[in-house]
Amino acid sequence: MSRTLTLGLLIFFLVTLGLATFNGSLLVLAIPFIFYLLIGLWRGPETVKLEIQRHISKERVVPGEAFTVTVQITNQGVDIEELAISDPVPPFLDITEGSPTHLVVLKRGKTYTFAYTASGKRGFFQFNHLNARASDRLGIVIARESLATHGQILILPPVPRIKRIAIRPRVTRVYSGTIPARQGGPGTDFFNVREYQPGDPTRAINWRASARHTQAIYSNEFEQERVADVGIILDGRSHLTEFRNNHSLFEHSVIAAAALINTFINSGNRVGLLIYGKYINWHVPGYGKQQRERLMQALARAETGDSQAFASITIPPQMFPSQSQLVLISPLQNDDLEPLIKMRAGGYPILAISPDPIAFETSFLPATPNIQLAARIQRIQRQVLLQRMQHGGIQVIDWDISRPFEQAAGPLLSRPPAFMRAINIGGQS
Amino acid sequence: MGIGLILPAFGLYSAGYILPGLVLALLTPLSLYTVKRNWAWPPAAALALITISSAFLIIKGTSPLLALAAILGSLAAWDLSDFQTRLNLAHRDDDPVSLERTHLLRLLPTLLAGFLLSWAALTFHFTLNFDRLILLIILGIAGLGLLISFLRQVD
Repeated sequence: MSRTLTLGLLIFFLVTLGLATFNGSLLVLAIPFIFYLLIGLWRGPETVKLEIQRHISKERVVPGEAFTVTVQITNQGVDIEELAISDPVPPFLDITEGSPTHLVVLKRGKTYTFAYTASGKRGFFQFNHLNARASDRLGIVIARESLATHGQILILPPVPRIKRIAIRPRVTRVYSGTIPARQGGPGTDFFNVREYQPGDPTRAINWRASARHTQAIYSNEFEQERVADVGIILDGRSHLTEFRNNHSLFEHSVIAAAALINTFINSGNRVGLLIYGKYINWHVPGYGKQQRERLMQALARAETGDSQAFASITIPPQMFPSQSQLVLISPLQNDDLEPLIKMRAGGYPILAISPDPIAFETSFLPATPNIQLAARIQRIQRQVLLQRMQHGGIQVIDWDISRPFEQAAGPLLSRPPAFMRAINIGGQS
Repeated sequence: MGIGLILPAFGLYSAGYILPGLVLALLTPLSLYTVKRNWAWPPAAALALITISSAFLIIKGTSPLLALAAILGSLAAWDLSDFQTRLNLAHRDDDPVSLERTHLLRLLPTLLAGFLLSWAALTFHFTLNFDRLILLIILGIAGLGLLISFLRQVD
């Protein structure tokens, strides 16, 4: 109930009772209330004319990095005896210095400036308004305004560095890159031996083969390296990624996705992103720095959720170019096997990076015999699932998130040197 | 608020209403506890309760000054508890001590003026004939109109 209404009701009560009982003393009791109300009405601001300017020291930061928000308020209306200012700050930001709320006296034409320093977790926030509440000193007349401002902060996920990621999609694009294209041509890795053709460099001649087959000269052919289409699918299903007491596996998945996006785009590939949570959030494939920025912003905004329509993962194939490389980052569940096998059968090479939910959850649970037994059963079920995926032709990396992504998955993802691949060591799981 | 509750409690007790007086007296520490916990609604409820009990005391013939003091005390408590809520928004750079001072400089004269007006109304009684009463009503209406136009100009 507003203060004016409270006072009004009390005055009404006393005056009515005084008139009804013909008792002047009751009317006298209403005088302090009336006087208090009149003083408030007299001094209260009716309209508020404030001009706001906001400055944020940085537009993009990494988690935990501090930034400063400075707000300048100029009163272009009447004197304000009491101005309460409240800058709404999202829950994922922590204020480390200063305050986003203030209570000040702001005379006409005067400017008040305040600043606060904040840092926070991954996320994106637009500072598009500021709440102001002007009143007289007694708080009787209150004028509330939501003042439009500009400003945004983007807290990007950290990007671990991975040097190279070894993928072999069936189809590559025409531009040269780092992905083996299954075609002979200029390159560094041996691919084939064919008959010498005019124009071949002499160092490409395979002298041993030419000596054995004297009717012709043979040249070594190398495997072309090109760029490819890569679709990254980030699983944000909350029933798989969110655990008790706000423990989230999703943050680790986001870090992995950021590392993969960065590496693939740096290698010149065309990368798209599908965030699979409550809704399907799709970003069309693209090249270059702009695409990286777009996808990083999408990762900063990514949230978990559960789709009402699909329990298991459902990837619309029309979103990705035919036979392009898919990278799925997901804790995985048994229901996901069938759709993934179908995608694989449809010609999409799939690399599944699976942050281990069992190791993650047991790390913050007490080590009771029951929990250990349950974890053991779950682990066996997970191993079976991962093996069935591997048998289905899906490359699987089981990531224990107690180790950083670049350390745990980096060596498995990086392309092994040519001599190691020649003797079939490393690189592939 | 404690003063605001104790005074009508004393008045009720003096007027022979022992149980209601005792209830109001018992509510005093409870009201102080709610103020300490920064609860929003108890000050307003206490203000209403004190107003009703003060009105009851006056009807029962207790001294109006006692009821007036209770009303002023509860009004001050109600105002200060709301101001405390607003003051929680202030940062130390906003100079909360100065804000408190300016607030008290507004509240105390307001309460004092209210008390003086009430006291004057209780002390001085004029007997007016009909003509003067009509004149007073006309003056009152004109004064109210001037006050409203003045307030509009100020805004």
